[in-house]
Amino acid sequence: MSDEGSPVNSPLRRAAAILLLALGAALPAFATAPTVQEAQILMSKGDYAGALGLLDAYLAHTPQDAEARFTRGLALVKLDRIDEAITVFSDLTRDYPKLPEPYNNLAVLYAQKGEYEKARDALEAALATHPAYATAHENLGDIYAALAAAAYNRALQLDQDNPTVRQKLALINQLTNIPGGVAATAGTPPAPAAPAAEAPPPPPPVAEAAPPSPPAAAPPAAVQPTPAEAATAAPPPPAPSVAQTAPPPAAPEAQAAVSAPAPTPAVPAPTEPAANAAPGRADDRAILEVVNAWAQAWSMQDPKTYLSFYADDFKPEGGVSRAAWEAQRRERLTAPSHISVTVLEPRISRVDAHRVDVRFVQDYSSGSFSDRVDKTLELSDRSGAWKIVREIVH
Amino acid sequence: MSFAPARAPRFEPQRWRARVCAMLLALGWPALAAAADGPERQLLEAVQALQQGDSRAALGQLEQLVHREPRFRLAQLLYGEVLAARSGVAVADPLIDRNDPHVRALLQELHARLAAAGDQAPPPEALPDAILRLSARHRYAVVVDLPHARLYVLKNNGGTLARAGDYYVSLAKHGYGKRSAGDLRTPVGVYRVTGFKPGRELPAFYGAGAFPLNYPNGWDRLHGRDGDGIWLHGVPREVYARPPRASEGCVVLANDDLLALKPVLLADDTPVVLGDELQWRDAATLAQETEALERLIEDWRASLAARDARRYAAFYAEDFRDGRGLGKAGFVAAQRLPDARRRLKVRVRDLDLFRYPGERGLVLARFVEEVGSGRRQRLIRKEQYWRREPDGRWLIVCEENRAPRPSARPARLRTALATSAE
Repeated sequence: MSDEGSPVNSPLRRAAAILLLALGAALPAFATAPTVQEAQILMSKGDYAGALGLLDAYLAHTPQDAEARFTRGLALVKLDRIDEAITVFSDLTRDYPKLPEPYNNLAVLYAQKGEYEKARDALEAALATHPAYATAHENLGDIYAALAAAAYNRALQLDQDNPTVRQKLALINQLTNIPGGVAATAGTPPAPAAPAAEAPPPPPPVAEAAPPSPPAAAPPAAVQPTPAEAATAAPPPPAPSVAQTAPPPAAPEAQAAVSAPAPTPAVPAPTEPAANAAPGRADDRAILEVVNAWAQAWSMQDPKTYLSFYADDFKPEGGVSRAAWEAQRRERLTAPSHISVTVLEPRISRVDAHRVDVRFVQDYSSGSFSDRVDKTLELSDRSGAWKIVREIVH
Repeated sequence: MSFAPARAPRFEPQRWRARVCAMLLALGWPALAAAADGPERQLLEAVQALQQGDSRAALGQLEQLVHREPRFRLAQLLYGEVLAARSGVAVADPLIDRNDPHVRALLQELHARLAAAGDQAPPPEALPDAILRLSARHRYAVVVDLPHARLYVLKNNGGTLARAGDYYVSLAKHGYGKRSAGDLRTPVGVYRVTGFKPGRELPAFYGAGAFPLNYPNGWDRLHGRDGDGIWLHGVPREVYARPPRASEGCVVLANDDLLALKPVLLADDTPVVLGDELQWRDAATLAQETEALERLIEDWRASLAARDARRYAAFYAEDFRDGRGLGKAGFVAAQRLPDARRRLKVRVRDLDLFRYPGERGLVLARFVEEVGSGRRQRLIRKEQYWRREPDGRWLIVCEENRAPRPSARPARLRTALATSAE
């Protein structure tokens, strides 16, 4: 990265300015109501629920107070009620289309959800009325970078033996997303799981002098897709720091069928006699247990157990040999400091009496990397035990 | 809090990545008129916008394109490049890693697509010299320019050919010039499709379907070339296209393109020429060569009609073999020419002439021979391979005779999943 990024441009620095600006200075016409000030003080003490209560009560009879609504949006963000916060800011953009801050915050929240294109649209709306709005420009740059990383990802289907690109792309991740660095040295404990975990100081009352620049104890980069949200854009796994060489980062299970697709013979669906036909619902539970146990072995970073879920004749996608695949899996299971794999929305469909497809959303995270993929495991009944015979990422 | 207006927007001037830029410029301007309507055209328009320095327009095109065709990886790559350039943030550029097989494959695809629309595009009116004459009974011909990974459709208007679309194709991993089963090469030669297998009857790998080709043909068999299952087929649904060198021998098209070709490939015995060294010529130049060959076929016909065994035999090379392996003497004898006193009524119709790809000085003449008249008329479908000798004479080196197919339209094959394509 050092050859491309100048430290001045580093998003880490910019991150400080990104989220959640006070409305006060931008809205000289509005006097901050005492209740709102009170709520801001509560927020500065970390009592977001309390602040929200005050604001809700206040807005019940003064529904149009822009600053109260804006502050309420911030409180909702702190309480991790992102969708409600999005509603608040997007209503503000509707009622006050000339104010850039609600657009900016809306963009930050969209970005957190991985909806980079919506984020970009919001920022462009902010820039349409305030072409010199630096924060929006900076955020827009980060959004473009995130969109670029996502597009690269889709272009290369980060998968098989491609650690170099993965590593490189991971640098993007570090650059744009990893809090720490600046914030950490400034004494803010990094809290990667929550967006902007540390509250920025509340907007100072109008009387007080506004700080010329954002406070040093900055929230972590707000554009950062937090692990649970990185789904679509998912830049690749955490890069080991450049100095650290050997172990390639754990990769998401992205296997593209492109590069060496062996013609797959169609699976004939033999007509089974009714007697031993389709497995019943009891089997469904057993199958789901197998899939969950597989995910658990992966999360426990236990390669031996993990590999035991695969049938002897399991064929890795992409034409890699079984041995090479096993070696790769062992490495990818053990390299990250921790792994969490969750199976979401599993659906079972029968191929025949002895074969089922389980399609689900695989939520993977390790260190600062996470992604979600749509996956199908094809399982085959091998003398009473369901074993994985194919694993496909869609 | 105030927002200093001093800070200028950061994404100007656009920093287009030097590498891609250099590559695009080296490839020349895409001639958009020649590009088919579709995702590729949009990609080319985006590239053109980039070459003109209009990255905003390029971004708009690419964004539309990746929404329309998210599995078009090349479009995603360019989209990523433009976004990265606009971001002003350091984003690692995967293009730097030329050793990465995925990157390489995508760049090869980009190169093939741009070249086919740019400086390597044949002149708009030019025709491939592989087809010297196409009888009016064919409504279309298909010519694949193997080195350039491009398939051209030619429409036949009563014997006059005109270009009617072209498509990006992927070929075999080891290129072309197939000799044996498993050599991972695409054949070079003149073929036809033998039917259509719809995608739903095939493994997902073949996408929208497959048109099997009649490889190995007579010439291939004469030269001991084997292997089979050479198909034109689609791509699995995970991808929009595959890299230029990807198959085990088949010619692979985007699913939409494959389906667009269905009426062409299933129409009236459409020839499919897989050409390795196509030259593009104007129709008049090709016509001169064709006339000489037409006269040759006429001389051959006259010798048969006159039952002049000596003249007839003189058209056949000493190393001649017919489709069943018969040598010159046996073949000529089998024609029972000297038996009759009377002249035979012989007509040659539906003559097609191909400059045979992959060979020097070889022409394939295909026609229907009508012998006799009325109820005793016999129809023979002939394929003659004429070779130009060092002394300039043309001699027949291989001939196959068949009863004409009752219907020009090939019957749909029963799908045999056991035989998969190479």
